[in-house]
Amino acid sequence: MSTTHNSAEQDKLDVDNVLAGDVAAFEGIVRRWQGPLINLAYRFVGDRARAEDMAQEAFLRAFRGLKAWRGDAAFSTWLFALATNLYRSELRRIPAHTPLDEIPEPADPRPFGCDVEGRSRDRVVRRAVDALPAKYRDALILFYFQEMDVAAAALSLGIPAGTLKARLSRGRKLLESKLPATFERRPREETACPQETR
Amino acid sequence: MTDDSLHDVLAKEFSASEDIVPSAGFATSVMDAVHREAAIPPPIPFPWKWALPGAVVCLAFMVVLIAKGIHAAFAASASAAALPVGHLPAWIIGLAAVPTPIWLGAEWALLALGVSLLAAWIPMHFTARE
Repeated sequence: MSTTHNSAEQDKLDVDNVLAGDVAAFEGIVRRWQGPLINLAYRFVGDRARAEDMAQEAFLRAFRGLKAWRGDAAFSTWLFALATNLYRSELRRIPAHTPLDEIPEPADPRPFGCDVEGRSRDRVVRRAVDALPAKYRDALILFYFQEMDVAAAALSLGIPAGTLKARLSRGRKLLESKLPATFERRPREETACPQETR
Repeated sequence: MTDDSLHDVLAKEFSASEDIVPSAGFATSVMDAVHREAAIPPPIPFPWKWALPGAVVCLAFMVVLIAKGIHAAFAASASAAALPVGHLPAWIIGLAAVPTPIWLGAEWALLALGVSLLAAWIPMHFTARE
């Protein structure tokens, strides 16, 4: 809590200095928020290089529009909302997903066991999320990225918390209908890799 | 797929525990771009104190010309006897009576040329000052 408070104070100080003409003070904001902004972009596009390009553009837009932050909400909230809008626009311009209907069903219905197959499963889930309609995909990504904080995710998206919950519910239903039934949790001994049992 | 297992997979895939580390030099790259952005001069403000009086004069001049044109059209009409000029609104008759230099009616081309030269000189003058 004190770390968050210190960060908020530091953000305000840096913003005031930048607006007073000290451009170098913006570096403090960049170093504090580069990780979260890049990782949020990475959640959207799944590509490191593109995520860093988008995060850089987000910082530039924040620099240009710094006067627009009136201090009524936390700087991080304003920054995340700006970045989220940019990332969503970028995805509309250059999509990172394939249509939901084109996600192939795995041919092998046997349950996934090894870590390699676990990673493959994660890739399938990732692609399925990317293929969702934008409003459900964005809601899911923001919700889990914000550590399941509904209020924070809703603020970033600029929608009411109730709307976010509805989109999360609908998005999960779409995923459940698309992903195979054999994603059910299995006891550990049934999921051991063949080489582990030798 | 149950809702719980889907939730676990989504939490693992998208939560902060799967964070990537920014590449070295990212912050430097951003600050370079920010410094370039800050070095761009601000846009030239529109010179309202110069433009507004001129725009008002031009607008008044056009209103007088239009009034004179309407008055002249009615006066020259074949059915002027059926539509006497006195039927025109009083403000048009009044504006039509505004005296104008006799050369203005004949030198439209010179007037247009002068306005064009002025329209070109004014922005060149202000951009040269910057």
